[in-house]
Amino acid sequence: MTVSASAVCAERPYRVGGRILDRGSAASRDAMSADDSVDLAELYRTHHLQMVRLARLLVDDLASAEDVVQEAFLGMHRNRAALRDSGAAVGYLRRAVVNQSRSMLRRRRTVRAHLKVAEPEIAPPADHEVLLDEEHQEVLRAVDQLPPRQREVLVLRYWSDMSEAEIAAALGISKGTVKSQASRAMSALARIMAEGGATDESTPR
Amino acid sequence: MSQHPDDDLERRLRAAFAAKAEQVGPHDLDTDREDAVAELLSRPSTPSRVRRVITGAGILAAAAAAVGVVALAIQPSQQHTTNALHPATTSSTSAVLSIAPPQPTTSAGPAKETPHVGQATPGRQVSTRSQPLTTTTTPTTTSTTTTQPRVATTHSAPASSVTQTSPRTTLSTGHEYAGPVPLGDARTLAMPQDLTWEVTTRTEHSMTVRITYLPQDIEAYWATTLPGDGWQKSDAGGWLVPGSAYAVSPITDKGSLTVTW
Repeated sequence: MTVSASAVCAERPYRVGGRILDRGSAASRDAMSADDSVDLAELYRTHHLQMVRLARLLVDDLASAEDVVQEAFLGMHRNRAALRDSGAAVGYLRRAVVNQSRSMLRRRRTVRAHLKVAEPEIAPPADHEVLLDEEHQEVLRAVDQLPPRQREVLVLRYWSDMSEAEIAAALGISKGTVKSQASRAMSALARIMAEGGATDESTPR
Repeated sequence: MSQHPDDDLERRLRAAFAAKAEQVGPHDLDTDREDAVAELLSRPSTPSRVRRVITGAGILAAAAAAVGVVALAIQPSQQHTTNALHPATTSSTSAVLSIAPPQPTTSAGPAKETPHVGQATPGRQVSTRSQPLTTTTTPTTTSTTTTQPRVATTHSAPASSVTQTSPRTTLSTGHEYAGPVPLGDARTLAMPQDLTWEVTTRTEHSMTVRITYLPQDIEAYWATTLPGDGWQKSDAGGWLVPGSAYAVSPITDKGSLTVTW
């Protein structure tokens, strides 16, 4: 953990359970008391939904997203003794979710490459895009065609409202890499959408 | 990041992400799984198998170290006891001795002086040990009395006559003693209070003693004490018991004297 979540929390509000909470709100304070050990149960209660949403933006289907978040929390539980800074717990959790999502996508690609016959296709429900506006569907299909790292940067930047430093900490990369990945992602998005290439056949994950 | 925060693409990205995220509500989550995970997270984490093994090994090592320390701590005192009792187990003779009242001669010795039972000689060994002294008052006690439990004894009566087992072999060179100097098994040479002495040489019927601390005029003390015990001043300047081999040589310039019996 290279960036303290307390520093992260001071910068901007973040979403919890579909609403915006100040960084100093009671819910976040309860789960991230500075002097006590990390209350994972409270952290789970206050951040579970938010993390599932983040994971779903990265892995696309809800069941996989729930798996990812569950594994992230259980990983924190296993390494509870190593969690010295309770204020950094949210940042640690977000990083764990991103890493787990990446691992999930990697496993999924591997399975599809080697066990294509036996493995059932893991895909979002057929109607899930239908529920979105056409404009949103177009953007999301374009995002799906980006490399995983660029997708992660865009999700953390434009949905989690994280700064470049926070994204760098969450992904374990430098700020310069974040900046370059974001720049390339935006250029690619603009090009794909201009070309009308955001078709229904999105890049398989 | 983009240099134009209000760029249309960024706005569309934010809106698309938000719309997709909002598709997942609290009621869309697997509540059974949620409850199970929440319950699991509320429990204290159990240490991993490796950590348990390491902890167990650490506990065993600590226990072994503790046992070793205890063994090392016990061993010296056992050795001391063995040495002290050794004369008692090899000698079945006993003697009745009259000893002067022992007085504390070191800063560590309060009113209760504490020589070791196994070194129950008329002259008590000066020691800073705090173990109580065993003095038995039974005449003709045997060496088995050395196995009695240690009992604290207060030496307060002046010139008390105490019957005590006397394994004379307990006197050894290199140790300081206080009190009467034993002459064989049956007679002692009275010494002034607080005087300390050590054995420099010893034979079967003689012993050379060097005075290490002399708090008063020993000649004057002997002049008043020894005649009462049957001693007489010898022509050579020492003391002797007429009609016997008991004799005390004059004190040399170095504070040594030889007693014979």
